[in-house]
Amino acid sequence: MKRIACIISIIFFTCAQAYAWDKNEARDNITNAQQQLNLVDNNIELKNFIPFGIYNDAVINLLNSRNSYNNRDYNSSYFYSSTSMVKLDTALLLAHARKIRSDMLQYERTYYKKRFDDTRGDVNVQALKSIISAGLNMKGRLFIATLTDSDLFKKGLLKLSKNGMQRLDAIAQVLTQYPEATLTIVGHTRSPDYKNYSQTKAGVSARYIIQKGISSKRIIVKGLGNKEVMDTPLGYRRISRTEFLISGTGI
Amino acid sequence: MPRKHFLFTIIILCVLCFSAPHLYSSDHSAEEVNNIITAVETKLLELKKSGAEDYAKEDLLEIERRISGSRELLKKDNEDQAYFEINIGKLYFKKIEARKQLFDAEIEYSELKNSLK
Repeated sequence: MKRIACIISIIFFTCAQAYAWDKNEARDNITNAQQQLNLVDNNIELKNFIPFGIYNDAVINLLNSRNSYNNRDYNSSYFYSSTSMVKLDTALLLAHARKIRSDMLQYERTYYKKRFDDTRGDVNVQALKSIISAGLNMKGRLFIATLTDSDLFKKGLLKLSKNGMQRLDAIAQVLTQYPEATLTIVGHTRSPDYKNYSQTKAGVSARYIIQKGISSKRIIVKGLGNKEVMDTPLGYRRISRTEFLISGTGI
Repeated sequence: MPRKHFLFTIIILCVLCFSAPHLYSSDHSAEEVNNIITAVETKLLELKKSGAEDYAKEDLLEIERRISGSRELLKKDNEDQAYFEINIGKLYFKKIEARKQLFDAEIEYSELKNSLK
């Protein structure tokens, strides 16, 4: 009887030791995750670029970790806090990438603005102003207008909205002003484009511009689906949009 | 030890076990964990082939460590912890993707600076 009691005591003691080890490990992991979360929260430089989906997941995982710890489920607690740490790392890396993309955009904008300022003496500023007032941005020798679906079409329909028609009228006017210029219309979608929706969208805009008296020979229509991303201040995004690129204005 | 005390000890141990079932019960089967390990290994190989070692060597090593850790835990019949371990390893794929985005952005930025000089 004594032997059995002894064996049971040893087993119990070993289990208790393992249990205590799990507890310490879980507690240390929670502390590390919390420290990492504080680092992310206090990073002012990257604060605006943190992807909220991953960040929220990480915070929820940390909360779950604490709850599991309080319920003495130390294995789950350890798992949740480790998960939280990896997610916070991922969020920081993505934030860095987004910041670099944002810096790139800023760099590009500053460069073209400076170039525009440097060359404005050579070009006809009045002509340039008329194109820019039509909603087109100058990029090198190209003039580009990017219109989202909500800018161009009625909600949920492939029919041009009043605002969309006005924007296309302005573009058509630029083409009338510059008979040598050609227009490329590129449609983009957010999700994979199995039904060639991007091409159809671009086609609707092209038909309207042709109706305004522009020769169809001067217009190229393309649909790229969701292959190309768009530069936004928060990094590259797949946005449902139509791009209008005018070249050959001689400016 | 009197018989009474012995029985009392046994009852206390039983109560402890029932009050903390997560200490001995297992929610995940060894087969399930093995399937996840195989999937993670396949993805790891693909990543290595695609040259991920250039920018995420440490993360790839961490995944390998998690795989071997998970296997060891499986050998000790600790399926739940093995499941946790391999799932933490799986999360590193997203981290590698993020690292790739950062790597690409850095290269593009330096290329842009060179091209717009």
